[in-house]
Amino acid sequence: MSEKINLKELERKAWTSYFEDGLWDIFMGLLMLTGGIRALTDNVLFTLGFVPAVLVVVVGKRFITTPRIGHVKFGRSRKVKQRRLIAIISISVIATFVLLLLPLSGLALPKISISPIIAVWIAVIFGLLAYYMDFRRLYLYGLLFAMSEVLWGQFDKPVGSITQTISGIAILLIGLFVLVRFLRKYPLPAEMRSYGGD
Amino acid sequence: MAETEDGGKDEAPLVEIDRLIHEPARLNIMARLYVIESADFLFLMRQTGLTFGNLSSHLSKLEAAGYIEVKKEFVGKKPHAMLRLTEKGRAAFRKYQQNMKQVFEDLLH
Repeated sequence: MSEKINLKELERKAWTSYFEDGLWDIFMGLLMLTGGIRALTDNVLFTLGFVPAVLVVVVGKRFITTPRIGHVKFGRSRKVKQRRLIAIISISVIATFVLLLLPLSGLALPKISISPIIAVWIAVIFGLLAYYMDFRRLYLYGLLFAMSEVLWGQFDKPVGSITQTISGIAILLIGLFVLVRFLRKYPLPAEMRSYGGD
Repeated sequence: MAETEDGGKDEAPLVEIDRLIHEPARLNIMARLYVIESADFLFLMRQTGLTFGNLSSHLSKLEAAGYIEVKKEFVGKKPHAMLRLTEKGRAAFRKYQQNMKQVFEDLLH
């Protein structure tokens, strides 16, 4: 066995093997792409872009990932990280709604551009998600998302939505590339009896 | 290594090395199971890079020693055979780590 045994690294490798399938990248890409197209075209139908994105992850994990790399249950430290992750997602969803609803509240708000605040918020949330998920490509996606938000605020709608659409396409392509690499690396195992029997 | 009465070296840590775990493929399996709660056969096969037959054979030895156990767990609605280290297996792995550390420390002093 030539590889050095580092237990933390082994655990991280086991965890990140679930992101080697590119499905979360495709999810993010579809969300950004449909969000950008929706803003460009003013077609409300694209608001439903999250539906295929969620389907890709749910169906893909079940029918593509798991049959190729199997099942695993992680230890206590990873479960603690997962709980923190859920807390971050919950807080960020609530805070985003509050941030978006503030202008509608009738409160006398200072006249400042809200887009840099949202951009920083997006970058921080993606950064935390990337850290807790050990999913490093999310740092890049957070930056792309934040950048399109800043451009949206600075140059008005077309520039921001075009940037978001292009970023979405780029992330989608990364996801597809990672997925193809995953499918090549992990072909479906030939008929295999499971140890201990199912 | 501790000094013996005749000035020689006590080889106890070397003798205590668990040969069952010391075999590279089994060490690989034990280390990977040590850092998680449980995994199925396919996951272990992918992570270790061992073939079906090779992995089966090593798992049988570890199971016979009481280091791993197979438990039926429900994944979705289907029962699934999941492998995990037993308490005995975890203790043996920790002991193996300590002994190996001791061996290398003694070699350097």
